[in-house]
Amino acid sequence: MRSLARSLFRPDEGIDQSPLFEDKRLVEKIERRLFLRQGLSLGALTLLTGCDISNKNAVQAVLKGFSRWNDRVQAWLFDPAKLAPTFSEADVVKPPRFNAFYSIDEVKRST
Amino acid sequence: MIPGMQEGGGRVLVHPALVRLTHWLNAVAVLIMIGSGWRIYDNVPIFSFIHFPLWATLGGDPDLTYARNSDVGFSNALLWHLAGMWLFVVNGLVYLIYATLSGRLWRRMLPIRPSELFSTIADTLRLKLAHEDLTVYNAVQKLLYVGVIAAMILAAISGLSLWKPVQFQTLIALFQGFQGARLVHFLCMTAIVLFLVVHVTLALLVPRTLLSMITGRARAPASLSLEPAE
Repeated sequence: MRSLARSLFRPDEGIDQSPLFEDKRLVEKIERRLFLRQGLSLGALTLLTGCDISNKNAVQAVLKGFSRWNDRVQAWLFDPAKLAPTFSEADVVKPPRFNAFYSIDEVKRST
Repeated sequence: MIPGMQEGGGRVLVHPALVRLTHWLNAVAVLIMIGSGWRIYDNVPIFSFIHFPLWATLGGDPDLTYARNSDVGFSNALLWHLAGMWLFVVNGLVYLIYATLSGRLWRRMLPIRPSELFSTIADTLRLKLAHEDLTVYNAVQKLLYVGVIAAMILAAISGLSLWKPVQFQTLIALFQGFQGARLVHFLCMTAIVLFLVVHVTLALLVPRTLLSMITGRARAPASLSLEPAE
């Protein structure tokens, strides 16, 4: 354990701060090295991407809670007088839009 | 901060507690929205040449969700996105109301003068990054912060129209249809991501700015007079 006694060599009026300002460039260089060290911890942070939090039950419960809340909000937003817009035949895209990350020819090939 | 540097007198409050709190909550919200948004995008890409890697997205273990819902986590990513939006919007509104009523938004972000903008850009290109006084923003900072706030507001508005396209069909019409709203939403995300890259890099290059967003304090501009003139 470190002694609590004050060092005899310690100046009465505290430590002289002037080198911090006089050798500002040098101090900034040290700060820049600290930046590199912080870069390391940032790199360590990327390892966290492997952690998956989505499949934890507690997380799923929170997400479900928000989903129920959204159900209530959309019930409140819903206006029965507002109908979905209709489109002319010219607006139909060929091939039609479908939910997938692959194109329509790949659908044909796989069947 | 440099260890042993004297506290008090020379330090001023640059970021009030509410600004710091909303800043970090927004950081979490934006990461949730980008991560889950990327996986939602991957399900139906706008551009065939832009596809986000699965590891960078949020929405659960792809194999597990595939076994459960026969999709690679698209529905789970939607759950994340539609939950994260509440944090993003409510937290954003708290910040905007506070920053407007306190006058902080106008005081710190405006005015942005073109002449100042050009001189700051010229200084930056000559690697003269002036971050000595954290109590004022330079013209480039002002422009970036105002720009990213605008992008986030537009992301929220276009996102609202994408969430409820029938109820907000006037908004959808304003974006030239559902695909137009998607494109606007995507471009807002791009702007926010580009801002994030610059913002995080600069915060790490000048760690004092990062610390001041945690402690709220920074060196007072007056104590800078101790520095030797260049």
